[in-house]
Amino acid sequence: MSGLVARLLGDAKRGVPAAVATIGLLLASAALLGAPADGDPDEAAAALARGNRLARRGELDAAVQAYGAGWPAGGAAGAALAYNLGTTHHRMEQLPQALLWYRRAAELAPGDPWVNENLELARAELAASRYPAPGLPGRLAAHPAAAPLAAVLLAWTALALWLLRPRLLRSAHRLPEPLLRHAWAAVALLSLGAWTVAVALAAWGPRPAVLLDPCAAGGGRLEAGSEVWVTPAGDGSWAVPGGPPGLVCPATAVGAVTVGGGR
Amino acid sequence: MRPAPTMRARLALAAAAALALLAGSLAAVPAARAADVRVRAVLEPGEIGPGDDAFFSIEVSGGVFDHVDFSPTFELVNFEQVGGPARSENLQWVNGVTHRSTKLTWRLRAGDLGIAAVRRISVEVDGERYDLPSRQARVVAEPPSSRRRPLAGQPRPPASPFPGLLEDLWRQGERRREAERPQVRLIAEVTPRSPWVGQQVTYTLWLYTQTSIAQVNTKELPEFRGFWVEEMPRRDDTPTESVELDGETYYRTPLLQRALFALRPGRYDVDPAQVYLVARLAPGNPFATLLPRSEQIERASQPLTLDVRPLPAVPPDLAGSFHGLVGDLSLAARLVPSELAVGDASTLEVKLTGRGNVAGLELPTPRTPAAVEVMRPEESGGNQLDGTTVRADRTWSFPLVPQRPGTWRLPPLQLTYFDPAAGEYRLATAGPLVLRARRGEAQAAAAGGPMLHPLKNAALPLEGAGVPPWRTALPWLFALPWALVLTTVLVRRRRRAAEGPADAADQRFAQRLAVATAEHRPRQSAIALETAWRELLEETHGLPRDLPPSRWRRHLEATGVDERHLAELDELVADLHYLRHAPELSSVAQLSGELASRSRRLGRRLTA
Repeated sequence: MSGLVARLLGDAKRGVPAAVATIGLLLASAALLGAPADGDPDEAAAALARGNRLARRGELDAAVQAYGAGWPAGGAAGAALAYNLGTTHHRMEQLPQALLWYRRAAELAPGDPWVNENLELARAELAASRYPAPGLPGRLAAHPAAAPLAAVLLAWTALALWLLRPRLLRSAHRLPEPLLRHAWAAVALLSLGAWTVAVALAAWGPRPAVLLDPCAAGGGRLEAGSEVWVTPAGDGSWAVPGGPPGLVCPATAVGAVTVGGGR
Repeated sequence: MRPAPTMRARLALAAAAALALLAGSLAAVPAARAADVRVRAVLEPGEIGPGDDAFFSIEVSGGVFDHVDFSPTFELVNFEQVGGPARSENLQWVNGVTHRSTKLTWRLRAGDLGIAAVRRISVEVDGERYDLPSRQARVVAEPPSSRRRPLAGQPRPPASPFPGLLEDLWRQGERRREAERPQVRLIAEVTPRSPWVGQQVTYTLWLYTQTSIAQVNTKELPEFRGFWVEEMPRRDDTPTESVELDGETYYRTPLLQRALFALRPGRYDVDPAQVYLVARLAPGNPFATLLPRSEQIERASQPLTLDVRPLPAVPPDLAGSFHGLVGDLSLAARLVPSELAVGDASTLEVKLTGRGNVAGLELPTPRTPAAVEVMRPEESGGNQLDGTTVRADRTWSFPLVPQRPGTWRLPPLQLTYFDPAAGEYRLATAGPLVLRARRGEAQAAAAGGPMLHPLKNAALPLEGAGVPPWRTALPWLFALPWALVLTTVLVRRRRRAAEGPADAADQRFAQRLAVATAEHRPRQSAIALETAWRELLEETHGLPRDLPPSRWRRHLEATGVDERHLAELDELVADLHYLRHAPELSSVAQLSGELASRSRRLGRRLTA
């Protein structure tokens, strides 16, 4: 790796475009892993106010429409919108939808006690099944910051090793010289690997979802309100790796908790 | 002699009118129910011998048409019950009024000479008690034989009471009476004749007549052993039909109809029905119409045989849901209400309708999730008559009580029945149903559990809310070290490209060290190492080319080289000296490699 970099950078004419391309690639993947767009906070606040007025008048269907106009949104406004959408659906006895919006609100405001208590109430009333994240990809997806954080830590470690390499070569006589010379490259490779895993999981890995309608196929069946992990299965449908074998649900039956997937 | 056609037509009209009157009177039964009930006790004969049998009967009669149920009690004195009670029912229609009587008869055996009696006779009819006087008989040594009655149904051969000269006149009278004898027949029908077990068989007792009937009394009816029997009361609109039978025109009306359901397969005999009729005699002369005469006649239907077929084997996948139902049935179910609070009760109504006999059917308890408790059902409805068809209309109401909140799916209810028309098993299905149980407010308050929080009025920032800032910065934190490395490498490369010679000296030094390491002879290896050093120091520190290694230190001190590097260089020079004078055959590869490595590091520090 270090040789490759050295060869690429040995020639300034080739090195500069290569460096620019590498940084661009990293930034593109960073966008994929980045936080959801915050949207327009003013628009979200206005949607929240409109929805609240309609909800107070008892026009719950219209309130849902009004809240939805401000979504997606991030931050406190997005959390409040998602929470109010969940509460409105809850009042309308549309528990799967309520569960989905509570989950979205909990993603944006994990420590909000109202969100968590309403979420648990909806879960208790639904009594639908919750399926764990499937396998190692599922466990990694369950902690979406783990892989990017590891990649960052490894990248900075590689940078430190690279900067300290001459001093290490001078002072650490007991360690083999090839190790001292190439340690930074090995750590850099690990960092890139961790980042690649994070990007792949974001693009094709499991993600949390709530079934808004019953989903049945091939002898397996999941009830509406089931909390599952889904992966893209092509044609807009979603596979449920932790559910009954071979179960694929249509896009209309799946509500992805993270913004940008499902309906 | 048969009546003339005109006379026959008049008789037929009279018969139709009489039958219509009969039908109308039978339809007027509810009004007659209120009539008085009469209870009668009879002990016969009045004198019997010791050990002879007497018959004690209690008869309940009145203007009732439905089945009469009563329970008598009595005490026996000098009698021993040896048989009974035998039950017989009698239906009488007299002048437009229907009477039904039920009689229970016991066979009693007399004891010693003297008085034998039945005392404290008490009968309870429809909740009302009737106390009757005692009945007694004398037990005598020689009972009168004349009191013995002839056996029922024993033919009585007609005999002329006027032998001799009046014999011819008697014979003429007999022929005339024969001609006037009413043409009345009793015919029993069953359909179908080869039913399946459980399939409805309709038994009809038809009265065919060409004369008017004034009174009908039943003498004996079939018992239909081996069948579940549903009575079919006469309806207001029971038609009187004109039918041809053996070339004769008759009017007919059903006297009795029963729906029979065979309990087991096999061959069953249906006994003949016997009735007494009071029929008008056909007038043989014009003056007879002025004084119409009637005669009591007895008629019996023909015996019938039913061949009941067993049901075919139940398919294994339907065996669990088959409970003996036969007919054409459908199942419906609903939940009332389908949404409720925990602890409240919903009612699962299961309704079974269609053709068939559902009496005695025990519906299995529906399967429900463990969190939904099922109570014992209330049952309503049963068999109902639709014309001559027995229809099922039965409802089971199961109270369901959810024990915890949730949306509970009740699996479909399934009942398998045998369709006799198709000759195969079919499945009646209802559901599935969904029961939504929400947490009751009282329950939530009692449990201290959370209630639904209200809407938020504004997007107020909360502590701990939102995505942590470091998460949003992760991509930049990842890209930054890579950018630093790339930038630094580029800058260094650019600087080295500008400096040029130093890099060239380094590269040559490295090449010579590599040559020295590859040399396996110690002296030549030491010379190569020394030469590499000499050239490097000449280029970087201006070392004179012919200056011996022992004097390198003094020259380098003058150029300001660090003392630590000089000390290391002294060690290196000493080791080179040792290598130069090592025996030719000794293995110095390890020492040579170590010296090259130390030289590489020291050279890098000296040129840095």
